[in-house]
Amino acid sequence: MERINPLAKMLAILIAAVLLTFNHRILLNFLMFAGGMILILFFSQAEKKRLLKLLIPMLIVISALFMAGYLNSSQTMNMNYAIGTKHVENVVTSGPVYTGLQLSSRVLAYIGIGLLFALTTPPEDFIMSLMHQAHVKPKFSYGILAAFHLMPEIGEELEAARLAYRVQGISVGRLSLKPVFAALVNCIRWSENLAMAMESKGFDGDGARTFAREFHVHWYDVVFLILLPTLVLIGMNMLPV
Amino acid sequence: MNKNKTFTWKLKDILMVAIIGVLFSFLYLGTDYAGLAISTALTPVGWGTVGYEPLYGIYFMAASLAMYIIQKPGVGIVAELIAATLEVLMGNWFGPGVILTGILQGAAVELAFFLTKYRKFNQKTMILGSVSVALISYAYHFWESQYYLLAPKFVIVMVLTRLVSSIIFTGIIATLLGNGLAKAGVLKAYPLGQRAEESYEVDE
Repeated sequence: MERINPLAKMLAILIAAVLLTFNHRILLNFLMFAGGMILILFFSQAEKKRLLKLLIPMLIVISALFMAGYLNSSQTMNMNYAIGTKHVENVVTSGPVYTGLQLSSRVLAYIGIGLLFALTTPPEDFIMSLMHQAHVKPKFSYGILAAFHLMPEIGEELEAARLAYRVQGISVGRLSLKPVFAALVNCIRWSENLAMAMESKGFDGDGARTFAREFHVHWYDVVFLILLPTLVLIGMNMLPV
Repeated sequence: MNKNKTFTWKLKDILMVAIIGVLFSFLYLGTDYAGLAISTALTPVGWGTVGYEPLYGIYFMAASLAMYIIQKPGVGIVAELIAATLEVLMGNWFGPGVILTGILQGAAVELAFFLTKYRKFNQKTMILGSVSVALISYAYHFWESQYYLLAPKFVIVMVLTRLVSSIIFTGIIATLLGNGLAKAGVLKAYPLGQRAEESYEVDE
């Protein structure tokens, strides 16, 4: 999965996500999740530990949505009917259980394709691909990359600001906003200095330039881009529930 | 004051938007977890989905803060887009749909500034933006997340909570944050900081 062009992957997944918002078939949502997991587990080098760490809170969200749908369904009338006839199929396709499943399974589908993208695409690659395939100006791409790579520094800055307050005898808690603000001030100072430094080194954000790494679109990118939305469309129209 | 204002983006504007986007993407991810904690507590009674609503205003702050500081058309959308995209790349559980909502939320915040023709960047416009984004984003979620399947009283509680949260975080806290930064003197290169230097001599 890592070999697929990041922008093509993003587009395919975005189109699939938009199509899914029109989808009312629960089975398709579960299939999307399963498909995403299979691709991540067997066809990518994604870290399994990271997957697990991300999945646990997600499952809680899904159960929250299911319960919200189940207990606050606007279709309470159907519940009595479903229990009265004791038909499992009716329980699944109407009433509160159905509402719960509708709400939660859709999020499950988003999670499947979202994780597929997140775990197989380094942010740097995605931004570079934006520049090469979507012709975003280098000014924007490198600006975002510069800010992105400042992140670890910002964490250190925050620690330094906390320490500075403690040295002065001002107690700051874990959630205190004072050091956060101090760190923010420094971040903005950096961003200005960085802009000046980039320009003084001759960085020209608009003109033609050469690149250390280039991204191209291959045939399999196009196949993926067409295949994923097509499969979703087929699922939306052919699946029973 | 508006005559010498240019609408083209300079590198420093882009870096500022990017920094705001990156910072808020982390904050958004943190908010995801905080909302999750509230959701979890409310899940047994079936109100779990409401758990995110009190914090929803945080999700619009990148757009309103960027608008307030840089004061150029498009910065709200771009800041929100960067924050949302990075949030997806770092792995959240709302999936790629967040990128679309990001664009929508940025645009909804900008709507308030667009209506004032990008001239008034004050508390009033910020609150107008926060109301606009709360209502528009809920309308989108109503359809996208199928909230119409939920009981009406549930929906009303959700909308109101989101509205209040949006006014507090997006409207008021973002403005205070911008003012604080201007006072600290780091925004001299941006319209907000220059206005602070002129000791608020704004011809409105």
